[in-house]
Amino acid sequence: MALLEYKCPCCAGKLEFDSALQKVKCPFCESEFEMSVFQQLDEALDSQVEENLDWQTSTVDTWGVDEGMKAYSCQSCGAQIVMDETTAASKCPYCDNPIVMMGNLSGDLKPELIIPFKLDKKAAKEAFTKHLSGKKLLPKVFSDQNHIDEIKGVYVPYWIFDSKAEASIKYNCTAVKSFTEGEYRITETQHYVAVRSGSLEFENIPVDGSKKMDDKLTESLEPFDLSQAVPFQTAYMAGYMADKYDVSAEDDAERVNERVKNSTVRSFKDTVTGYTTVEVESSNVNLKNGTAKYGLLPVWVLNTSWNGNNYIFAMNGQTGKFVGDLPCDNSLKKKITWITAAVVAVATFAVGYIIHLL
Amino acid sequence: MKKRAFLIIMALLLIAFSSVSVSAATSNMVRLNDGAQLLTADQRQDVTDALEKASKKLKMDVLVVTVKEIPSEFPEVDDRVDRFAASLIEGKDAILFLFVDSGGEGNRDYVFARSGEAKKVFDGKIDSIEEKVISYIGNGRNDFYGAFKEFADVAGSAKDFRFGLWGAIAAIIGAIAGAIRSGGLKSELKSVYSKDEAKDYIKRGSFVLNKKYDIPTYVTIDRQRVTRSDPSGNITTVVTSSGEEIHTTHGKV
Repeated sequence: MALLEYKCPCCAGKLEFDSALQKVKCPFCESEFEMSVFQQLDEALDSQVEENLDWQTSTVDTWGVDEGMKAYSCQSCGAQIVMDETTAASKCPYCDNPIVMMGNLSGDLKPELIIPFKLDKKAAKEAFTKHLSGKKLLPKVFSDQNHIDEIKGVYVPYWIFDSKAEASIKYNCTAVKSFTEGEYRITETQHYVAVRSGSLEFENIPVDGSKKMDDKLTESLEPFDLSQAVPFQTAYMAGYMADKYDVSAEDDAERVNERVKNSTVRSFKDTVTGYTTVEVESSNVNLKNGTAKYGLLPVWVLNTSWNGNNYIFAMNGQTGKFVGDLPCDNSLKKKITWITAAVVAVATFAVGYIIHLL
Repeated sequence: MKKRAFLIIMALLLIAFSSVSVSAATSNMVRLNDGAQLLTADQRQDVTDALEKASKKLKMDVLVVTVKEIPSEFPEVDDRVDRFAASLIEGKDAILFLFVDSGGEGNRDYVFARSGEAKKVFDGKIDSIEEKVISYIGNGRNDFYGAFKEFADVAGSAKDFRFGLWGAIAAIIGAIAGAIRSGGLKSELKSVYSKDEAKDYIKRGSFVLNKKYDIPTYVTIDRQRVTRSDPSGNITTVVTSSGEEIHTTHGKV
């Protein structure tokens, strides 16, 4: 499989995409290059088919390579590298040179769009520190000893869906009136059937196409601003990791259809007003004109381990939204529960006594 | 923060324990006047002692009067018994249990009358007092000693602080507050959630409503008799010649 390496034409140093400059930059000689300079290198991607470019792997000794892994030869230092077969961009573990696996980005695997990283590793570290601060139940030893085992900028493969929902929904509603008549309290419940039908369009719903990434984690990173997406170019991946999709758009469609259906039902429900209760009796939501684009979206992934458990955090590389569940100090939680309960109980008792005396 | 909370609680407790109600006072009225001769001498002494104890505790008069008939100077009007009871405690801070032993069983009048500070203390509790006390007399029991003793005891404890009730309320509120606080703090640790909706991705201006109609189908009507829990429903106000308002609760047994 063909490897693409970005080297500085001035000093032969490794090039990296600089998220602040939105340009490719050489960290050694500080030369900066516009993205358009590298466009030519990607022209072959449209016609390349993975199978036709496997000649290079044949020169690599693949003995002992596990299923699901692939062996590559680093063109910079000549080292043989074994990587996950879904890896589309990485670094040589020996010479740290950024490499792009062209075969995983060509033909049908070529992404249509990419949102370039807007925030760098430093911002991710700062966001992690901020994420830990102010959390009273976070074990102190976790924040004191916190050291990030690994922090990597990953272009995560996403399917980006557009869809039009046509809906016909029937709601059961009630309007309740209560009044007193003589010695009786009358509760009059008027039942209604409300019918709504129409359509609603959705655009740019991202659903991650990687089995490696936890769906809940990637959904928590939303939203991404797809208006800032640009046509895909491998140069954006210089210095970052990337994977090709291993979940098809058809498989992701189930999840997106569920979300679209829920939002459609909710949107139409908002038009059923003036009632005491509103319940969906039946709903028929048909999705039409659905399209899926393949794109790479920027995510900083941070790993740390504590007490034998792994904790994964992620930051939206575009917006800076940081997510990741933290461990809980259960003994402190019990202590806070009891102290709060005792203080509030004593205060309530005192208030009761004052009321009694008044 | 903890120190401030502790100081506030201590201040509240100090205020609570140092507050003394000084508005009410007892008089030298006879606590028990058994004109209808319903009790023995020993029973009278017992009831008088109990009424005296309750009066001192409440700092107001707790009285029992029994008569065979309402004095003739009170005209034959509907609230004649109430007016007689009111006349006995006018100008005092007092609660009176008047029992008129005439008319035969099931037709004997009784009145619980409150004047001055006693109105505040007993108006909200009078239904419960009436129920407890009259249970000794009704249904052929005629245990007047038990009724008057019960009246003295229940009246005497009217201003007691209900430790059990407030303890339970405080414990429940405390437990709820503790759970809410620790639950809130724990929720700060969680930031990974799946999204069930796609509302962030609705295309602006794309919502089209083709059909919208609401059809009334049927009506259900629920009728429930109103039970009056308002204690004032059982309270009559008697205005005396001096203009004082005395509250009475009148019944027959």
